[in-house]
Amino acid sequence: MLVMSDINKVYQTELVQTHALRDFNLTVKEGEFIAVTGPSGSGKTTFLNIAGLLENISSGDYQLDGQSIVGLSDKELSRLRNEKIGFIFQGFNLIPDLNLFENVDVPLRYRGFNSKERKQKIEHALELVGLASRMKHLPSQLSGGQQQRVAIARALAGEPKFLLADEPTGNLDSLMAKQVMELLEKINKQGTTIVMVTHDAELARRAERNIQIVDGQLCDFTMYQGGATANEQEAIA
Amino acid sequence: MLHISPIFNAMMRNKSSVVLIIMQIALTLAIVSNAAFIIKERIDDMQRDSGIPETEIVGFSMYFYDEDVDITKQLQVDQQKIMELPYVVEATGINQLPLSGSGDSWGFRNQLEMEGALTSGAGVFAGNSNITQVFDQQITKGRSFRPDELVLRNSGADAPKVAIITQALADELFPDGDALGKYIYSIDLPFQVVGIMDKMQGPWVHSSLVEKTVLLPVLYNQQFIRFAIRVEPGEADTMIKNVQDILLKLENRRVINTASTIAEMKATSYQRDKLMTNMLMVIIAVLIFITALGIAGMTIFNVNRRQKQIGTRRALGASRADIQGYFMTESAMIAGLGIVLGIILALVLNNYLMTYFSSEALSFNYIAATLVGIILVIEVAVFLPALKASKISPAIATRSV
Amino acid sequence: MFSYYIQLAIKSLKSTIGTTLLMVLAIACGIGISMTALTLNHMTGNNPISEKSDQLFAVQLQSTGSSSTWSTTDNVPEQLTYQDATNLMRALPELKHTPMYKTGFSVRTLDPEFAPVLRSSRVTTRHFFSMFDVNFLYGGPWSKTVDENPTFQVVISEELNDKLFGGGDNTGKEIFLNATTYQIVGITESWQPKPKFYDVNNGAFQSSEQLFIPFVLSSVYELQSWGNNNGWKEERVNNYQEKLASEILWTQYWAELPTKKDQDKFSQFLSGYVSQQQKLARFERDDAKGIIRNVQQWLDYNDVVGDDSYVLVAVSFMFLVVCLVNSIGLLLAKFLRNAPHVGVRRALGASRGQVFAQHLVEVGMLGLLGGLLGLAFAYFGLSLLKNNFDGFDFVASMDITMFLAAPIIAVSATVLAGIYPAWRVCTTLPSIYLKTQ
Repeated sequence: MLVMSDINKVYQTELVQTHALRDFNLTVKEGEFIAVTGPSGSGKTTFLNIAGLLENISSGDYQLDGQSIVGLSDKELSRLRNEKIGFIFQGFNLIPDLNLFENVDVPLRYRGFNSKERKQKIEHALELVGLASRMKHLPSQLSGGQQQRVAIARALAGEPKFLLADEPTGNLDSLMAKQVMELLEKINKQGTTIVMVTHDAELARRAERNIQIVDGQLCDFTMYQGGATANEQEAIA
Repeated sequence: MLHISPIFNAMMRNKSSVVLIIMQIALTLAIVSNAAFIIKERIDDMQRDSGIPETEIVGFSMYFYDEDVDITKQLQVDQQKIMELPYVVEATGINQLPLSGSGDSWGFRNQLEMEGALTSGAGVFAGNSNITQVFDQQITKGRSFRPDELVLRNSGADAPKVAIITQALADELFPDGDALGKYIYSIDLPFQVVGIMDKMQGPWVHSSLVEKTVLLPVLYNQQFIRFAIRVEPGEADTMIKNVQDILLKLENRRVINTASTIAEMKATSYQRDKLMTNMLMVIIAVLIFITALGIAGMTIFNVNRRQKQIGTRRALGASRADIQGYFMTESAMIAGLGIVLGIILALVLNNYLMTYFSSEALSFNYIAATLVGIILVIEVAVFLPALKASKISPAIATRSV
Repeated sequence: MFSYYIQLAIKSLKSTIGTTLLMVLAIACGIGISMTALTLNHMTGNNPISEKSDQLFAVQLQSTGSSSTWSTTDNVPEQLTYQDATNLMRALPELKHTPMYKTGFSVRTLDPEFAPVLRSSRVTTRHFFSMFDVNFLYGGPWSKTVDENPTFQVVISEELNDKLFGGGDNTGKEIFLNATTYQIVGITESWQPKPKFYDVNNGAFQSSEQLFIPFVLSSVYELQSWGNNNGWKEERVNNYQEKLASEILWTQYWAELPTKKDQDKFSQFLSGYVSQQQKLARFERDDAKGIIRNVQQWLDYNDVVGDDSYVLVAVSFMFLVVCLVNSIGLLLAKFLRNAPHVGVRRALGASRGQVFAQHLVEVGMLGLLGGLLGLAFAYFGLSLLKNNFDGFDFVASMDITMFLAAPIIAVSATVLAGIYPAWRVCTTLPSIYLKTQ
């Protein structure tokens, strides 16, 4: 589903060069639910942005669903993002001027579905998150948990294979966080691959696979239990 | 306490909006100073003293269509009848009206021989011997016409022998200042200058001849002829209303056009200038308004965007006055850059106007005045948003979102 | 997709209604003022006979004294002497060309109760009507014979026909011009070319004459010119016959020369005439010459539009630029404030081009609103001009070009102005805005 090989990401400013990811390797299989953890500044966000095709890589190769994204134009990347990837953010990032229906409509518009198809998909997605009855409401009229469910509906409406979640419960109280997490698990069971960035260890444990990013490099607790120290030593050296 | 360098650095981080404001200020300065200058030129023209009581003189044209009418005689009969009216001061038949935009001009020389003569064109007013009184002219040197000097131009050969000219024409033809008593010549006709008047403008307000005027004591035998009447102050409307009836009763084989005051004719003659000044004034007013709104809008935006930064500064001990001062200083610096560019632009625009449209060189006073005005407008526009910024609570710094 | 962008634009403009109004107002002011100035310029610069503009030629002769100066750019007088006019009109009968000047009469019907009215009159030949496409309601021009033998015949305009008779076919009837009776041979349709290109003497936007009489009457009947009479020669002119023989310039002259061949022929004839007059020692100057100018060249030569008009257009367009710069600043602020939403859209699959297009549609809509309001402003400004200044009825009216130009200029100018803010917002990395707000 997702194969990252020897990815490097370097941010260059006038004064400093920052190595956000170095020789980063990761393979995610179809249908997996992966939790990504790591301390602040470790490269989690960069990983997420690269996985979500929001930033280019400095070197290496990234294959999404069997297709290398290296050298693709902005238009092609946008198309891939639209078709294959769904985003869920910590801050929900609903567009405040648009009602729920219109928010979920956004990715479908860029996909170019006709209005009948869009209506059907939006209603289906909102039903899935249990908010179909409130589709004319504005985001500001909803609670945080409800907003995040709308964001999930929006991410799912275009039926992507791959869901990227960035601290999806970070702004929610524990009850709502639980609901959202259950929803994500349900979606994963239906076949959608999920990569979730979080710093909540408890939440991370619910995922079937945990990886940690430290100083731009990967430690995979599930698959490379023993290799973590080796990697860390390398990083220190 | 002014922190010029951190303000400058903050500005540099936000280059595009700063550049836009600088451009706006520069263009505003260039347009306003040039427009104000053009307005001033035109208003000066319009407010020039014409040398005559414009609102007290009523003029009109008439057309005698029957060749049997003795026109010069009729003009004198008309004059006598009109001067019997209690509100009329003086009246005369005349060939043209001052400031009206239509009339006659002749060429004059200071000697009979063409060779080596000084020449000048001049507007020629031909009327009865009381013509100086009709236009309320003070004769500064010499005298007015005598009644016996009037010539009736029934046959072409007769021409008046005397003339009264304006100081401007006297200066042109007799630079030594000895015009009085001398002769001026048009073609081969001599006219002795018996009087010099201070100022009387001719018919064409935009002509270089406007100040050069000659009065002659002659009534023309022309089918198309005019009439000038000086009335008591405030009586012009009465005269305008009644004059057609009064004159048609005396002789109805003529068409008398609607009368108006010289002031009204003047307004028509200057209407293009009026149009120009009005348009430019509207442009200046709206321009300043829009620039002020734009700058206020940008400051509000900057204040909102920097709320947290402002809160942090307040938390670190900056006073309200410091914060307000910060924004006022920032806008003053932007204004300064805009002004430098604006002065250059103003001069470029003026140069363009001079090259292509015979405009005059822009006086630096206009740039300076506009400059002060713009700084004031900018600071006023920034004052309220800056005041709002100064009221941002330091507590905002500790809030995470 | 376009309709989606329009929906989004409406939402966006509504959500920041204050900024929207400010920008619309700024654009409207800019458009309103520049359209007012442009309309004045456009209408004064109108070519009233554009379809024949390059076939009709004003004729000038450098007939003046060696030291004479004129206010024209090439120092050649605009008008001809009567003797030159009559000499030219007798030549080249195969081409249409005619002298003309303006005079006036008191006009009345044979009804003794009718109060005479004063009307200006054009003194010309029968060619005038076909050359300048003057159409007839009734009758037609006078005949060739009338052009050669003084006959009291007159063509009147529809307006005068209405005034004198209340309309109808009155050809054949007689009217008094001053004390002489003339027979009406034709009644023209209302004809008011603006500018009055064939005679700009007394102001280019005057009304056309309502009477037309044969030029040949000038030789037997004293007709005073109501236009400019410019003398340069030191000569006594005591009566009308002396004026006809003098060097005073007071007639206009036009020729219809449809082909290059005709133009060459006429120009050649003029140079021949000039050298003949030089030999007779009448034309004193070494650079004496004949000049023909077509209608557009003639209007430019006479500077019918005027400097003020160009200055106003220049200043008002600079003003428009300020309004646009103002809008760019506000747009930039607004768009960048909305950048987080753009980030979301990018994450959800909008390409850079789509984001750019979305913002340009919004800007274009702003321009359209500003343009329409600006059109209303210009309309209001022009009616103010019409009401406060005499003689602006024609000049201060928008024609269809101006009506269309206002929104087009507004939309294209604002879209141009919006390119930078839209580009800024679409090139911003979306990831910056996606973390926490």
